[in-house]
Amino acid sequence: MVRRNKINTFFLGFFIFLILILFMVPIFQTIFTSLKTDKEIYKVPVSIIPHNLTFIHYKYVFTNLASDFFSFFRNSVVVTSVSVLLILSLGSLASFGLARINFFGKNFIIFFVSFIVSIPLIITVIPIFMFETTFRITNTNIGLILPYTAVYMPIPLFIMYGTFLKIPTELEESALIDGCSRFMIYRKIFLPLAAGGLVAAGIITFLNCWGEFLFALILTTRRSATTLSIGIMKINQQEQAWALGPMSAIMVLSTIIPFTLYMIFQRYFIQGLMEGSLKG
Amino acid sequence: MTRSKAVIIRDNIDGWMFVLPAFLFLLLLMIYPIIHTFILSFQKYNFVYDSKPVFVGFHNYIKVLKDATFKKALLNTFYFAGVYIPIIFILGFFVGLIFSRYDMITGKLSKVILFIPMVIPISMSSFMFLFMLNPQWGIVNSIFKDYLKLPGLARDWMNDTSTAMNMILLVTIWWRVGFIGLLFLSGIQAIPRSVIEASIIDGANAWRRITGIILPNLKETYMVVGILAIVTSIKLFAQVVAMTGTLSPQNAGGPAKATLTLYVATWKSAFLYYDLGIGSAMGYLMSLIIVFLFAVNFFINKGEKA
Repeated sequence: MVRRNKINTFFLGFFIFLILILFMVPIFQTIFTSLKTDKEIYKVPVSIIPHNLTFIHYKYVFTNLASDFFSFFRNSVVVTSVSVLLILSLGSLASFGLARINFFGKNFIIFFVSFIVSIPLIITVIPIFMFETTFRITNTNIGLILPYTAVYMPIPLFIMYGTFLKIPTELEESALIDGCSRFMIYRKIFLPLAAGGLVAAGIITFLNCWGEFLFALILTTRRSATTLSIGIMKINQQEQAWALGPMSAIMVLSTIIPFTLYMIFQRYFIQGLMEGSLKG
Repeated sequence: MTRSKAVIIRDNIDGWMFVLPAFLFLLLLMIYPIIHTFILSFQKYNFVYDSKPVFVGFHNYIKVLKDATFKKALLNTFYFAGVYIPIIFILGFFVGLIFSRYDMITGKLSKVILFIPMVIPISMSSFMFLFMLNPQWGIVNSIFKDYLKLPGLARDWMNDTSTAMNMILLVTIWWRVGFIGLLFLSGIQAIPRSVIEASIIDGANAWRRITGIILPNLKETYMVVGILAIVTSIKLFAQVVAMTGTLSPQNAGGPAKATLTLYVATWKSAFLYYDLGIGSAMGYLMSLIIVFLFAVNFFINKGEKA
């Protein structure tokens, strides 16, 4: 009986291993292509594992495509980091208010935030596009930061709201009696205690903004203002016939930051994602 | 504890002070646009040619509903949802089930791996698949032709009207399956251990255990996964534009409208033809469909409870 179980576990493990390998094929294929020589990329039959490793495509990205790549990269970094900071600061303030203070209109706001999670974003894009054209802020970083901050606010807000709800009330009450202002309580007591939730909310917001597609596609038509997720399409258009090597190198390079963050904060990420989806 | 009037007033002021900055952002950049789009959907307004929007009543809606392109987009979206939703339920359930049985070091590693697609921007994932599906130099055709010696199976995947949409399904499933699987896993782990152990003592085999105990106890998971799968299906956009519109946005939704979804059609009419009135009407029709599907999802899962 025990023996049979062991064999079963072994086969199950092997089966999972096979599935995971298959699952990773697109990622490995991209990394391998970025390391192959051009001769090997455009050869039939396609080799699965590269024979000679080369960094020539990375060099090409850093020299010939440098101006485009670095401007896309800079835009992605600026837009994403400012949006994350805004969302975390405004979102944590709001979720503290919602979780810890009784005030008129609170349930309405909670309902309202959960309602806007489910609407298709394209409904909001049209007026935002008109408004940004009027104020001439299309093709700027601010033009992306503003909509990102609004659009990606609800889910982190719910995650932080959940974290704040779990903190016991005694601390807060004694601090209120001691004459602390609410803002001091929020900053000195709640923010440090809710660090885990903040990290989870931050990492999810980061990934959302880094990979955002719709707003970046519509609001940034100029190459100087666009982010990596749209920039890769522009580079593909410019390089014409399937420059697989440099394109793969760009894909690897532009996934490094989110991937590293994910590996460091992996635990928070998974927990935050689950909480966010269950509440949203 | 009754609160004094002074405390109530202070709480109201404090509460709104905390909420106001975020609320203003949402008001200006989410609520105002939602209302504005609603008004636009009753106006004729081409952003390039018309100087001012003109009120036309339900004209936009009628025009959209009569439009063959819209019908095609609607059919494509329902085809996608009809294939995607069952597959993601079944695969997600099996991923959750396998990991609930096998939660060791490898289990943790697998979790990390299954989440990786969520980390990669969706446009990049689409490109990864696009390159693998390249008819000449892609690995997929090469495996069929050169490794398995089955040249009959090789084709121009993204230019073939019968396969293009299925390739977009493939990317989407690859992207979402780890996450949905983990939702199922947490649902399965929430079933009390004692219930499952009791069934083992009663001599229920694995199949009976799955159909009799695990499946009926996942009501909440079905609800959440249902909502997420509906949203993914209706919001199908980035994958299509990246995989079919990369050389020219005009081509997005091709070949021959085979991958044209509601979202892509809305985007095209609003931002390629600058017909904001028609685009707004399509956006609102799409929202109606989402509300309808949410209601269906709610009643299916509620009905099972009774």
